[in-house]
Amino acid sequence: MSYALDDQAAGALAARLDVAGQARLGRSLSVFPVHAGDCGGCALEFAMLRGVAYTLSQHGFSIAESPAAADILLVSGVMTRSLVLPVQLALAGMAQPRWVVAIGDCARDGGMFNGSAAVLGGVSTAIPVDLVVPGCPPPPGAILAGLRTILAANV
Amino acid sequence: MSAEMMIRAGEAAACRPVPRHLLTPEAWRAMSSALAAQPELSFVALWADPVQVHALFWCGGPLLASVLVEAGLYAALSAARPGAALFERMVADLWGHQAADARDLRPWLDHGTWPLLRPLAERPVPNTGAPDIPEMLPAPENPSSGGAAHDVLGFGPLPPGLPGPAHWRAAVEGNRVRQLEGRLGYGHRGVLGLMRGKSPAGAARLAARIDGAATVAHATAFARAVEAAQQTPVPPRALALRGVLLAIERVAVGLHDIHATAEAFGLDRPALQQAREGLLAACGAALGHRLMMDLVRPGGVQAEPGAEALGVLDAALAAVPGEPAPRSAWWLSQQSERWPRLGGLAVADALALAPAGVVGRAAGRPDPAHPAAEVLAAGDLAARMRLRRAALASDVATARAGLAAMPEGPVLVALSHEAGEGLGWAEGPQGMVWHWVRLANGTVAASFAADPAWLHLPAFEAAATGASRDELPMVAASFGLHLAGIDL
Repeated sequence: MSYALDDQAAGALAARLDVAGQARLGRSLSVFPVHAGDCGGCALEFAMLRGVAYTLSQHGFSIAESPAAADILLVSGVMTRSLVLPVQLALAGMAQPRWVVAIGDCARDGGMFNGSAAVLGGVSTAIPVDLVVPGCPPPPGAILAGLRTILAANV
Repeated sequence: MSAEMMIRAGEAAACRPVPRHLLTPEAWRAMSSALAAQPELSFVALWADPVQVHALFWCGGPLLASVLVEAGLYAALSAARPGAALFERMVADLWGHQAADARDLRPWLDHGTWPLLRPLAERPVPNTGAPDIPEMLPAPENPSSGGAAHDVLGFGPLPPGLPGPAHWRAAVEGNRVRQLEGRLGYGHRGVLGLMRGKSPAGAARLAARIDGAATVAHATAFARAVEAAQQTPVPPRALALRGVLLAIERVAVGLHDIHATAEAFGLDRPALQQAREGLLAACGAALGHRLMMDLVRPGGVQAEPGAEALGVLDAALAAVPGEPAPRSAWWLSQQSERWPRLGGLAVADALALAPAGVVGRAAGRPDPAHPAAEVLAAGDLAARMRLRRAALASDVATARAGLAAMPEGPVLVALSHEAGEGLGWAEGPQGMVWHWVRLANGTVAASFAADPAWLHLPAFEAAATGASRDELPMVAASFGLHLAGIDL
């Protein structure tokens, strides 16, 4: 009796798993928050998402303890010159597929901190950005809506 | 002569509402030496301009002292006031003035990545060097291992669970922290440089973003400094509104800090977060901004909430959990709230560093801004939580009383173009926030903002000694450390 795998059947199974996995497992993404040159406003509003008022986890998101465990790098604040390397290393430590979400007007384009010698500009001056959630700061609902956009695109 | 008398003997430069006393380098050095003999003279902040160094003390009221920098040097204050050490490193990084006989000469905010050195000096120097590797304190000797140094752990500059961006170094013995040090500068935005040359209204928007967790307090302290400099009286309704907004901010951030501390333990406190969300949503609906940014501006307040809007705020404040009724769900959640006695700040450290607000009061240091407020001696996480709870109740009462007695009238007056210097302060969630401003030609010529985190950071480092590595996030959360206020 042969136990050799039927390549064709295995391939079909893998394809089905892929689709089912995307639909089920793909609905869960983990987020590593990075507060760059953030005044703390965006960080405070992001913190609201985790609790009972917005239930981030019920929407399929979890908070990652390290970039390596994350699907999404969520960056708030301006990109300061001293943070370029740390932020680039954080991104490099993430497995594909991965996304970068810039939240807040500072992360979008540097906002009112442009012109300072310590600041490069928005997050895209250091790493490619997939999605921007504007606002100063964006309310938790807007950040959640942005994250859900990525969830929707991922299924 | 006491250090205080030496300062008051200095020539009074025009600054309102208190003069700034200009000391000769000799008098400043003598004052610095006399500080040790007058511990009740609290050190608040140290900063500079291109030619002078300024210090702010508290002695029954604010007391300002300045000294002319000679050959790039001024006498350090950190020998007698350890809280001055971070300020001295910041002054060296931003203005290039070196503190002679300072405790610590290492860079603080400058990592060698800026195109200019000493960006706030008269003539900044182009930076031709390579970025620095942050120089951290050497690990202390471990007495139990025959003189070898302790093991050292590093976290950050993007540390999960700890305040950031910052690089944290912990010298550990087993799992116990023996020395903790934070290095900032990663998030430094150059706020002071950006404020220069801006109109007071434009600079106020930057002041409101120094620390998002104290945006009303920073905006109010800055506005008061400008109004003091120009001797602009603000209408009563604007003053009353500011008082309410400040109290609401203290409640909202207090709820965040207690919730974040519980969260760091893996505890859930939904009632606290629901109350915070209710308050922020009410601010959004009644005032147009959830965190109340840009509402306070020099000359008054940029918001005209009607009676209905004030009612929305009052209803959200009334929903903040206060004294729990027996057997209520809130009472039950309180029963499980037994805060551990970790992260103790020694009373001696609290008196030496003079941290403002709850952090100081929990460790035996009365808050000069609230001489009658409760003071505890334990200095640990449980003491901080108990005082934060009490502050919550009194701030809710302050805000609601302010809403009930809101006077009618205008909320904003026009500013003059008068030149001058002013000092302003306002009570933020972690304690008093101070702004100093010098106006010329209708714009900001120089300014400084002193956030309570300047003194809370060294207090946290001292309190972390003895905690385990896993307890650091809980201790940090209980300190309410929002580092943006220092990483200007």
